[in-house]
Amino acid sequence: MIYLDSAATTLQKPPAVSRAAARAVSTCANPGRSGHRPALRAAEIVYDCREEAAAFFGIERPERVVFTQNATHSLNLAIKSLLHGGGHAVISGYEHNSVVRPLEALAERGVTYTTAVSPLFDPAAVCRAVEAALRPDTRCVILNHVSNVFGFILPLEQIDDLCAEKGLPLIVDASQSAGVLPLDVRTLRAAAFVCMPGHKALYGPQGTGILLCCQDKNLYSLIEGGTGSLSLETRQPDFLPDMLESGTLNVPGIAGLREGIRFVAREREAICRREARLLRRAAEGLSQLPELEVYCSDSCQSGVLSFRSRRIDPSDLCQMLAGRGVCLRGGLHCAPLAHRSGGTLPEGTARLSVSAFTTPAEVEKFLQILKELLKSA
Amino acid sequence: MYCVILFRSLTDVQRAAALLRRSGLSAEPLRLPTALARGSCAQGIRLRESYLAAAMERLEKSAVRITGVYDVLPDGRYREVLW
Repeated sequence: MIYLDSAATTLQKPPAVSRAAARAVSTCANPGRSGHRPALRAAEIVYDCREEAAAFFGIERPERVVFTQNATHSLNLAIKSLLHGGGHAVISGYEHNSVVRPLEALAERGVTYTTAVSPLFDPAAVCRAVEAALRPDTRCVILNHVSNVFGFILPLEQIDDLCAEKGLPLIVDASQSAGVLPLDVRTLRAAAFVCMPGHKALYGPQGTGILLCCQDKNLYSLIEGGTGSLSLETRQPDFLPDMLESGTLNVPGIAGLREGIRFVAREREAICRREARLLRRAAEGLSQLPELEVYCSDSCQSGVLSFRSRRIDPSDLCQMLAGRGVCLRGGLHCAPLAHRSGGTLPEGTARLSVSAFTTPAEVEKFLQILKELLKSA
Repeated sequence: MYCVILFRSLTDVQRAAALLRRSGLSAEPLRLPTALARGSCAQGIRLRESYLAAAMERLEKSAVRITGVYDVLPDGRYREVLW
């Protein structure tokens, strides 16, 4: 099998990840609820992971690292924290449904949004479009750091500068960038929240996500309940991380995520270089197949590459590849906005995405299988 | 002689213990006795009384919110320390 669907989730993880998760299943109790050894062990693992994530992303206070179920959960917390009282948001033309759908759901509370549409692989156009979309009642800007469809690296620093100048908080969707591209919140002036999954380029198990809170005011909890703190109070604690972490945490997932973060903290630069090389080779190989349209950029692309056949629907193509043991994703990738921006509606694209564990030989084999498939189809 | 510092959450306890350890001040997280817990599951840290001044200075610098400081008396009871 050749796995090239790491933008959905990384399948191959460092071996320490599954070992840690399995160990936690049998040795960890409920953190923060009791004073016995298994509960304390769980609490230590959770705190270590919080502290290591804080160090990796440049968050000064570990309590501002909130554990969530996935990036969608993190984005819902961030968006509803900034917009639950109403207002207008500006989003890039490359946002995922995990941004668009919460905004649509907030319409009944008076929330509106403008999509800053801009052409593919043109960072300057993103800046111009976002600035043009700002209104006097704009409450925040939401930016996908890297498009999950095209791997387009959006101009985070420039949008952050723009937001800082305008006094607007920025929500960053780092689903495809966290663990690969440099991401230090100390370098961002306007970022209020950074949202990410734990199970993609941080190599944790599925069911893990992180919300980095660069502020601790205007927070909005999606669920309320037991936190192990202020138990006499019937109201939800108003401090981090307890306010946003009700109920028993996913300790086995967090134990695995801690190992994943340790791995990327050691290897991030090498991973970034390796993925860039693999992507360049894939783009080069795909571009030699005349019936394919390949969406690539030398200067602003990371980890993800989309392509389309002029004859075969992308979902069908990916299904054919799956039958030959090659795992890609076809279709809209839950991001119709990105396809509108890239001009790839309504069929979408075939998408390949790499990880630290993808090998050059796998990319070559994929290219060979695809070439044969297109010849025979 | 020991004293106990109380915090509002387990994460604050862990952060405080880690900060103090890095400053060379040994501090042990502990689950609070009922008399101090006020119905909460929260914990505190126990440390030598001689470390208290340095510990408070370190914690105040890092903005970890402290909810109480207690001396542990020889008979095991607790006496609040005004700080």
